[in-house]
Amino acid sequence: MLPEAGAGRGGRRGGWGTDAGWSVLLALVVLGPLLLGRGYWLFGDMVFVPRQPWKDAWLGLDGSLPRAVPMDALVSVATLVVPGWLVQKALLLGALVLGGVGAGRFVAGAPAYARLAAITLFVWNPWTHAHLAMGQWAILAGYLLLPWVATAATRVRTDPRAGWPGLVVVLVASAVCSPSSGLVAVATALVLGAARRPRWQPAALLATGVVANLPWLLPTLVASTSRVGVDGVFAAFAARAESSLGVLASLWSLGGTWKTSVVPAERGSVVVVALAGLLTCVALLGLRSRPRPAGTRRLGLLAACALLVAALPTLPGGDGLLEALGERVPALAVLRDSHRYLAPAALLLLPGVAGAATWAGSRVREGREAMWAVVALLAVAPVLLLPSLAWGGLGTFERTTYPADWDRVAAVLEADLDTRATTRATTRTVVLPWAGSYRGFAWNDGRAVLDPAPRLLPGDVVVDDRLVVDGLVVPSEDPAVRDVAAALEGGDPGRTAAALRRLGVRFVLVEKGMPSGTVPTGDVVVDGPALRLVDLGAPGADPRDGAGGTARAVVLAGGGLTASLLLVSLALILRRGSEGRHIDDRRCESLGGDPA
Amino acid sequence: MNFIISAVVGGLVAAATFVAGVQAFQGADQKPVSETKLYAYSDQ
Repeated sequence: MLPEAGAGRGGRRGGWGTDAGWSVLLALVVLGPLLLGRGYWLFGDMVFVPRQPWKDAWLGLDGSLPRAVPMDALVSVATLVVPGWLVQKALLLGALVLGGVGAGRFVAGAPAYARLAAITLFVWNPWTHAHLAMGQWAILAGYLLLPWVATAATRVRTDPRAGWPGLVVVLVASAVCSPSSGLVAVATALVLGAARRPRWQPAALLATGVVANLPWLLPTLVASTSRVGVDGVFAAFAARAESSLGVLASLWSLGGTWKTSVVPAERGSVVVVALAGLLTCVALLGLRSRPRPAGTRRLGLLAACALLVAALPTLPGGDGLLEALGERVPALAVLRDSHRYLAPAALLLLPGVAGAATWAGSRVREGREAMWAVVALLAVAPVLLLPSLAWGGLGTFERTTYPADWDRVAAVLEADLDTRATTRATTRTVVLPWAGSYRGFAWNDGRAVLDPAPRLLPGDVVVDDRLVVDGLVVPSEDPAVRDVAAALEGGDPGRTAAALRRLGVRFVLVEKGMPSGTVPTGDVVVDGPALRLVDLGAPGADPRDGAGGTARAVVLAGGGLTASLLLVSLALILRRGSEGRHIDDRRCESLGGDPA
Repeated sequence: MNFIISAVVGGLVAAATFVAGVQAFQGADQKPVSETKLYAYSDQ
């Protein structure tokens, strides 16, 4: 919350209902088709399954490179209680509403109509569309937490005693969403929250950020992966121009994703991109409105850095520079999808568009009643300029359900795991086709979706996780995947089966409807319209069963530290809330009123 | 003054609605993550 933002109509505490109502309305318009019944949205990286069995991998305890740690752990636990389709709806709806309310609270001192303009711009823009269309729901959720991070960080600077617990909670929540979300949240907190006094405060902010991110950071450091490649990846994932106005015009209006196949048709229009850029300019002009929002310079610095990171691979020599740096510091590979890091730039636009709407509202007088139309235009302009975000991508995201074959395969693998319970060995299953990890199931209308097998099936499920972008093959970072790939290259079904058994593979799952190549010889234990499960026989070696003892202890200790910090912070917030209510009650009683 | 403001706002709304709306509905047949990009998962 910007410090001076509480002075306007409504004050700091007022307007929650308005912000929440508008946020719910926007979320319903975006998610409409998903919410109308059972079933899943399955596209891109968005994979939810009916029940996600618990695995060590969800906490990064299996020694593999963490992908969605610890979000997968939370989703897994949630699906033990409620069906996955309900978890998906709750998470998407909750994230969008929380993000909208956060945007409203970030400009809490502004009039209601100005807050609505800020909420719309934050929830409804090309960045959110791109990441929803790519199925990157957790990264989208991390973005939607940013106003809360900014509010908490600003509070730490202005009210250190009261601000820290809230900041810890939002930093941990951001880190849970995705590593990049966690990093962006820490950067946001540092830029907006760092103070000169006390001197240790910036170091404490950084340390808090590091502890918040330990759940994914430690598994990354102890993972038994091969080298993370950076050859050509920065150029492959660089932002793209959507229209003939160029890439900078796209980035200026929060667009420009590298994945041009998800860019909505209207963003290809010069007129639309120009008008969206004009909206950004209006928001920047709105920052000059009175009273000027506090923290604008810090927000400007944050936005400039975000724009620079997003644009760097597109600038002459930018991708080469990043690649050269990435060769020396492999951790820089986290910046390869640079468009993600444009997200904090949206924060600068919130007080800006709210300021512009407030200015327009203040100019309403007799003979100029039409200024209300300007206010209304600011509140709905993002929707008019991006209709494709409405109603599930205008109906392109349709709900689907898993065929019964998946339950049958899961039951067979579960039974095999039970027989191995005494030896602590796991069941390893290889999934075919071995052609990348995205699938186009007929039952999902051919939409490309990340293979659901590793999340839906128990045991160690190995899929080809190479990524192909613009003809560039980003190799797998998992040595086990490389070993399986080498075994599958044989071509002869019998030899391939023997090679896989030596690697500890018991089952091969063939997902039908796509060219699967050579299927190893074995007993077919499930053969349905969607899936075939082949039993290769007893494996020659026990598959890996988690990381080494020390690595496991380190990861668990790190996660425990983060969880402890989170619990203490939540307890402090609850305690202060309770104390605040008691004080309010005493004040009310002293004035002769009814505390209730 | 009301007339001028209304004309400007109306013009902007009409331009945005017409251009964005028409293109969006024409492009709605394309699946954002389409089968043709199945394995490559790229923009080619």
